[in-house]
Formats: sequence, structure tokens, C-alpha cells
Amino acid sequence: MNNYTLYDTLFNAVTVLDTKGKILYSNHYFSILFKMSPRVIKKINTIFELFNGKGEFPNAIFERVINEPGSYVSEEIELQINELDTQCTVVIKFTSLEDKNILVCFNDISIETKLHSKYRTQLSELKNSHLQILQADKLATIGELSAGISHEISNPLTIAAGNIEIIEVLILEEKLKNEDLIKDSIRDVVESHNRITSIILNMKSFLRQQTEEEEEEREYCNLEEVILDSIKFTNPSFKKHNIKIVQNFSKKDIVALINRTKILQVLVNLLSNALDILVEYKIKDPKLEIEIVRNRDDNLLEIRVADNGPGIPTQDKSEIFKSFFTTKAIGEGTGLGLSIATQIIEAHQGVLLLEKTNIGASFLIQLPSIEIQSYTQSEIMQRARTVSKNDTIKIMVLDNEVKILNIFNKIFENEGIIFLGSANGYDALEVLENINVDLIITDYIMPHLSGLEFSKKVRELDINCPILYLSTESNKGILNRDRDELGIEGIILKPFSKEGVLKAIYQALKNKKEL
Amino acid sequence: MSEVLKIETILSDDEVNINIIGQIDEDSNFSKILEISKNIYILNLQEVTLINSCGVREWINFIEKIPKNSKIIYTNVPQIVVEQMNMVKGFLRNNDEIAAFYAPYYNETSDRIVSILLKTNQIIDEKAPTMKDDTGEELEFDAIEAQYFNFIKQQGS
Amino acid sequence: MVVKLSSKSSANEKPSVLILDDEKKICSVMKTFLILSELFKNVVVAHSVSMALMKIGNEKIDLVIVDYNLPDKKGTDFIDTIKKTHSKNKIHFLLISGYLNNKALSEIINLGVSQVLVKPFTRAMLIKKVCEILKCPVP
Repeated sequence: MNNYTLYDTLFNAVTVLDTKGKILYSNHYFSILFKMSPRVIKKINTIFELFNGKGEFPNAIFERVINEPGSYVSEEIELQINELDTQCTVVIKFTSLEDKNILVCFNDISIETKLHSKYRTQLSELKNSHLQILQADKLATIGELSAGISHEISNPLTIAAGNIEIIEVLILEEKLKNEDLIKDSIRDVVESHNRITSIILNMKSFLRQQTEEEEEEREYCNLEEVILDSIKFTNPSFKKHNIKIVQNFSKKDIVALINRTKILQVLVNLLSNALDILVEYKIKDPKLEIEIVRNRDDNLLEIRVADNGPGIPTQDKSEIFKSFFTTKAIGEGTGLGLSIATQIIEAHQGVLLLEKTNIGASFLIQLPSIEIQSYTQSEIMQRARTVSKNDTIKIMVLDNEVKILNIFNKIFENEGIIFLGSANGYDALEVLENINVDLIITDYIMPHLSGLEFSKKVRELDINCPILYLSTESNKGILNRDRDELGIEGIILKPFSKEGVLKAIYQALKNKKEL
Repeated sequence: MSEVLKIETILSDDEVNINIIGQIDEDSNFSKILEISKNIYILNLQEVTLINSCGVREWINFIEKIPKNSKIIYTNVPQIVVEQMNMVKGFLRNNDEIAAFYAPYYNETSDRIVSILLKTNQIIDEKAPTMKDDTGEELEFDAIEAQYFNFIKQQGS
Repeated sequence: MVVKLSSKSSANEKPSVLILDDEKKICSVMKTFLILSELFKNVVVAHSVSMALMKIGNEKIDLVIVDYNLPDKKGTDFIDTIKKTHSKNKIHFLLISGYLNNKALSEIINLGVSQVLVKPFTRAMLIKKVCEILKCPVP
């Protein structure tokens, strides 16, 4: 059968078998794969003999190609060519030839599988190292803040201990009739104890290493609360050095969709850096200003941390974000803080930058608005699940309470629904001008723009998707009026269940279709 | 990342003798060789135990960094490396040559395969030289000559 | 909070002490301890440097107990000021602190303040230190 010599030129190992499995021809690379010289292969009768002891020959596919001419590919097969060598992994393709014989082609994917498993291992090691670095940074921060914390704890301890001793004296001298005194002392002790406990708890929660799931988790949070937490955390140090902290929150109730612990880490980092600079340079009237701005034009949330210190020298400006860059003395700062902070912000699809200022250093954190963030998150998650984009429904939920937004987030997570969360009617309207949604759920009672006002404006924008109100029993009456005027499909009553919500949604969508 | 490759170097005036020991694969690091600068590199591959396509890629990358006017002489090249050299272009640069390599021969009586070290200049017209074992019995060349000696064509004159 | 006790001895030869700490409750606790010890004629309390300077101006103070971490000034700066302005009167100093790093310690030593008390401290520790400074027996 010499017309097989064409296969000599192929890079893959190839053999031609008859329907009984006898080896009629094999090429050079077949020899190399099986580490058998042509002479040895000649001595072997069938492919089954060759495979014996080396691996499992895909008999079923071989049978199939004989009975139903065509081309068939096997699964991955492990071969142990000889005892000394490591295993190799192949994929085998069987093709029926015109002369009724079978062409068998081997694809050696040993290297692919080996590299793939190496990649996985190294990736996992990298992830671990990264988590360790995050933790080390946290510990380092605690270390740097420890002077302030230590001082902050020692005062209440002194007070508590002192008052207990006084009570002891009173008992000894039998002056217990003076109840007020006793009550005062006890109250002071309890208060001191509470102060200490709260400081320790703050530290513990900051230090607690997140699990891998928590690492990825985002939740809706009140940005002011997170910032206040970070200030609370660093406050002992600020108080100690008499640094004034000015809070400039342009709007109340700004909501962000973030990993709370990580953003807290970033803020504490920025505050701690500012603290160090202000102390080191002995700035007169040291001040730190924290600002939150909702940048509507660019759909961004901005957090600004600015100090009135000496500022960053021009030559350092590009270096400060790099790992291990630090101007501090040895033992005083890892230099990892800003690079980790950058990495965290970037993981939130945001940006951390140093702004141009005349006085001091001003760091700006930009995060996408929650509407955009929730949309992006949803899309990414759903893309991993559903087959075609046509299956996914887009729903916007407007509620100023983060608790509610988080609940809806959980409800929609596993339902193949794209979720846009918003906490402010005006922000929501901006987004609706550019993104089409299939359904809107809005809270009825909200501070800036009420559910009713919002719905009116939605209809003015010529958006006709079904709207559901989220409200308590008492507002049921308004539904009828709004149903006629604004096309409000129904009310989801609080407290609500997942089933209740989904039922209401699907019903509203069905009704809309039937119109 | 394991380092299963060991490189030993012995320097003389004009040349360096390098022993490559172990596996040539994706983890191989040849930078030690690049730190040396000589006119002649003699690479002894006697103790190479494994070579795969990733290793070949690493190898070619490093070979390209050796100065073009330096000469590399390969010696004691094992069969597995000969097979790779035959499959891949770029292994041998213009000035380089293979001085000696192992070839498989077969003894019919004892049904044994032996590896015999051949000098490249023994191969004339792609024909394997006749070899005899201790008993005087003629051994059969146990590969396809055209395929096995392909690399010789790649060498410059 | 003041605890009244029967005074036994003549108050004339006894020294007076000023406590300066911005944390009112700490001053209160220390004041009670010092009064209980019956070592002092007067125990005066101040929560800021300016208040303290006023009180030192008004009466004879023999011992000043001052916290290192004051909001408007460092405790050591205050001590420095007093030493310079009241160099004729012999005033003893006791510095208390929650945390002292190396830098602070060397400052304190430079100033010649040899007595430091670290928070938290017990009544016994406070009295012992005070007696060491005033060179009197522990009650």
C-alpha cells in the first residue's frame, strides 16, 4: 500500500489500519511517538497489540468508523509509552478511507495539558501570595497606627482601673451609702470598657482576612458611612496630633457598590499616609479634607482626600503608585499601600489618581456610578450563564435604602436577570436615557425624588416599560390612580419575599406583552 | 518552578566546554551560558534526559543570543535530541555543527537495540556506516536513514 | 468627684500638686487618689496649658503631674516653659503617658525629667512615684 507515503511528510503521528486493526502503514512520527523503530513496528501485528499495556484504545470509535464511514475524534487518552517515561496525552482521530481502510491520526497534547496544570498551580500560588500581601499591608497599617491606638486605649483603662480602686476604698471605709458616687464610678468604668472594646473590634474587623468569596463580593453601601468608619479607625492618631478633619459631603445618601472592607482599606491607607506627612513636616494647623462628589456628567462617584502638607515632589509623582516605593525610613512603612490601593480601585473599575494642587497632596478615587457598576456586574455574571442574550431581562430598581438594593441584588443574582441598582431618582433618569430596561421597580417614598414624580418623568421620556411600586400596605390606594395615569402595573408590598417579587415581575412583563 | 536542568561550564582560552544535564523544557534557564563570551562553544548533550517542544523553543531563543560569529559544536547528542533537531528549523545556525551523535542499531541475534556514538563525518551520502558488535556480528541501523540524518543537511559547509 | 475625708495632720508643711491632663476623667481619678493619700495640702486640676499656667501663677505648686500628649502642646514643652518662667521656685515634675516612642523618651531625658509614669497605672504606682519625687515615706 504505497500510496500512503504522502503521510510521511506530516508532523503528526499517523498510521493506517485495516478493519481488523492490522497496521498497514505508519509514518516517521508514529515511530517517534511510540518510541519504536520501523523494524519493531513491523513485528507488531495489530494496533491493539501496540496499545496493550500502554493505554486504552478507543474500541468503540474504531467500531463506529468501520460501520459508519466518516471522521470521528476520541477523548483525551493517557499513554504510558514505557515505564521510565512520563505519561503522554493524545487525542486520536479516525477517518475512513476510500479503500475501506482506516486512517488514524494522533494529536499529542501532552505539553498543553502539562502547561495548563502548571498555569493553574502558579495562578493559585499567585492568588495566595496576593492575599498574603493584602493581609501584610493591613497588619503594617495597624502597626503604624498603633501609637495612636495604644494611647487611645490606655486612657480608658486608667479611668476604669482608677474607678474600681475608688470603689474598693469606699467599700473599705464603709461609705457605700453614697449611692451617687458609686453609680458615677460604675458608669465611668462601663464607659471606659465600651471605648476600649469598640477600638479593638474596629481593628479586628479591619484585620480579618476575607475569604475568597468575600473578596469578590460587592454590596451597596452608604459611602458616608464607610468614610466615617475609616475616620473612626484613624481618629486616635489624628486626635493625638491635633489634625483637623473636614468632611465635605456634597450630597447626603450617596450609595456605592463596593467591597466594603477593601475600600475601607484604601481609605485608611490614604488617611494614614496623610497623617504621616502632616506629622513629619510639623505642619502648622494641619488639616485633612475629605470630599464626596457625584459627578453626573461622567456617571462617576468621586472621593477626594486632600491634606495641606508639603505635597508630592515632582520626581516622585509617577513613582508613588509603584510597589515598594516609600520615602519613609526603614521599618516605617512597607511602601505597598498605594499600589495595593490602586489595584483595589481598579478591580472596582475605578481610578486612583494624584491631582494637581497648589498646596499639599490630593488623592482622587473615581468609581463608576452604581447604576453602571450594577449593570456591568450583572452582565458579566449572566454572560457566564445564559446561552443567548435574548433570554436576559433588564430590570432597574430604585430605592434609597442600601439594604433593599442588596436584597434585590441577591434575588436577581441567580435568576438570569440583568440588574441596575440606583439610589437616586435623578441619577436613574440619566441612565434611563441611554439604557433600555424591560421593567422598573421604584420605591414609593424617597427623599429627593418621590416614586410618583420619578414615574411621571419616566413617562415623559417616552419610556413605556412596566413600572412597579415598592411600598407598604397603606399606599395601596394610590395604585389605582397611578395605574390609569402612568401605567403602573402593580405594587410589591414590603416586606417582600423572593417568590413574591419574581411573580410580580413576570406577571407585569406578561401583561405588557399581551397589550 | 523546578530547576531540573544543570549547566556545567569549563573555560579555556578560546573555547568553553558546556555540559547540559537534565531536562530541556519550559522551565529551562540558559542564561548562565549567555554570561560567557567565547569564540567556540562545545555543547556536550550526553546527559540530556528529556526534551520537549517548549524546551526546543527555549533553546532556540537562547541560541539566537549567542554572537553570530561564534561557533557552536554539539557533541554526544542523544537520539531524542537528534529527532527534535530534525523536526525543527533554527536549531543549527550557519556556522554550527554536530560533531558526534548517538544512533540506534539493532542486534538480531540478541534482539537488543544499542545506541552507538557516530561521528558526523562518518555519514556519507546519508548512509549509516556499518557497525559490528563485539562478536563481530553486523548490526542493523534501526531508523530511517533519510529521516535520521536530515539534520546534517542543515549544517553549513 | 471628690471624696471628703477627715483631715488629721496640719496642712501647713504639706506640698501642693497640679494635675494637667485633657481627659477630665483621668484628672478626677488621680485627684481622688492623691487626696486619699493625704500627702498634699491642695490638689489642683487643669485641662489645658493655659488653665494650668493660670493656676501655677495663683498658688504655690510643688509638684506638676502632666500628660505627654496634650492637644495644644506637648507635655515636655509645657515643662520647659514652666522651668524657664518659674526657675526660682522648686517645682518637681512627673510625666505621664500612654505611649512613648524612642524620640519622645530622649526628649524627656534631655529635659532632665527623670520621673515618668506609664498608663495605665494603679493607685499604688502613682503614690509610689509621687513619694519618690517628694522624698517622703509611702503612707
